[in-house]
Amino acid sequence: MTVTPLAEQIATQLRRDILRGKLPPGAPVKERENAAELGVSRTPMREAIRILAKEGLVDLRPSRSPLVARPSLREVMDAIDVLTALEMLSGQLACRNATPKEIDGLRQIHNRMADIYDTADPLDLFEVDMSFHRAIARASHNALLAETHQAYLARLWRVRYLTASLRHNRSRVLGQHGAILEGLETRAVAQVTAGIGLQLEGLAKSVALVLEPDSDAVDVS
Amino acid sequence: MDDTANDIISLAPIEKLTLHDQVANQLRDLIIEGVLEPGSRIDETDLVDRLGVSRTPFREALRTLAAEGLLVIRPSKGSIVRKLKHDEVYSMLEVLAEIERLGGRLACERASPAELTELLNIHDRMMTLYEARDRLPYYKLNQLFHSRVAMASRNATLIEVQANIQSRLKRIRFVGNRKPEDWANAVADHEEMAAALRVREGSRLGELLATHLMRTWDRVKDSL
Repeated sequence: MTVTPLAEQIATQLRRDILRGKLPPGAPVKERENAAELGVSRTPMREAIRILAKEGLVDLRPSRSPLVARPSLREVMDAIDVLTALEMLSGQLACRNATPKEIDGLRQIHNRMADIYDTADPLDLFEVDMSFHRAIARASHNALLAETHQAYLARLWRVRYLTASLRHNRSRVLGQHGAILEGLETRAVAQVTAGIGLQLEGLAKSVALVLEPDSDAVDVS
Repeated sequence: MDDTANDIISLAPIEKLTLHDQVANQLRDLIIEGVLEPGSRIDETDLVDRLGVSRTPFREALRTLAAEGLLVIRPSKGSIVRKLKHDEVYSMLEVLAEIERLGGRLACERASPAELTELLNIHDRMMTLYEARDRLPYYKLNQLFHSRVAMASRNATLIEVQANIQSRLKRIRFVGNRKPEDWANAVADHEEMAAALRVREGSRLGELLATHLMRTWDRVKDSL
């Protein structure tokens, strides 16, 4: 599948609509209405929906509108276990393989996050936060790892956003990122994995607070 | 789930499989065994003729194998058997090792008694096939063992990631058992895994699986 830039832009917009709750879990994503609202034609809209389906953010249904995914608590916890393994491996490998330029790039993301932490729109802040995690996966110099991390991070996009908003705490978040960064600079594997571990434990602990408790029982078919 | 085990040792009634599945299975074996060499072009006319099928199920089978990462379909230029680069294989094994480490740990915590028995049964059958040096069936049961450990983790995401990477590494892992001493070492690893599994020592099984997969790299790197 070759993705056009327009479809990718539409997908970004739809992802943000899902995060903001404009498109809540279980809601239909109507191709025609959304295309009209964004002022695009239906072909790139359809392509954007396919991108989201591949990421697991929407569920396609034959000859009906796709639905915004409604993962159960169990599914989310499973995905977090896998994402933790992937991020821990990223941290370990990045300690060994990250170039000074890549570490500098991480430093810039970190500084930018510190600059905007108190004033930014939560969604913008979240995107910067996630770009930090993705940059570590890329700095592992394992292409499959970076690709797999990106794909499964996308699936957890909504819960991660909701928990990040819930746990909005400048000193904690920036402190953890700072410790990870310092560990990468000094090639201290234990410090890096400890920092990453703390972040993901925090995620796992707060998922139950943001996920609809009855979502296991909801039948979306 | 028991049906899959039988499929692997080809006891399943063949009429249960769709035509496209049968074609995909045959082509997959030809790729795994290296009859269709990495980098070589798929001779569609010749294979369609030899398999005695029409082009539609054949092309469907090619798409299945492309999705498994075994083939590359090039529009209007025909398909080629995917040739993995050195660093691609290393990257895959590195990620797979971590995924199976987690899978092994969770499997020991979560496998039902029946699943545990089934896993040990697969192991015993592998050992019998090793005694007979029956390589392709051994190889298939080995793949099944790794898949079943992942399944016993009951973690849907993990099962998906494990299956996805394992399928892309099919050819290369068959190559890994080519030398007698390499095969013997892999068998020794498996004996240790079975021992850890029997007593549900999750962290030990996880560690053994991860080590085993990184040793796979030593076994295959020279043949890339």
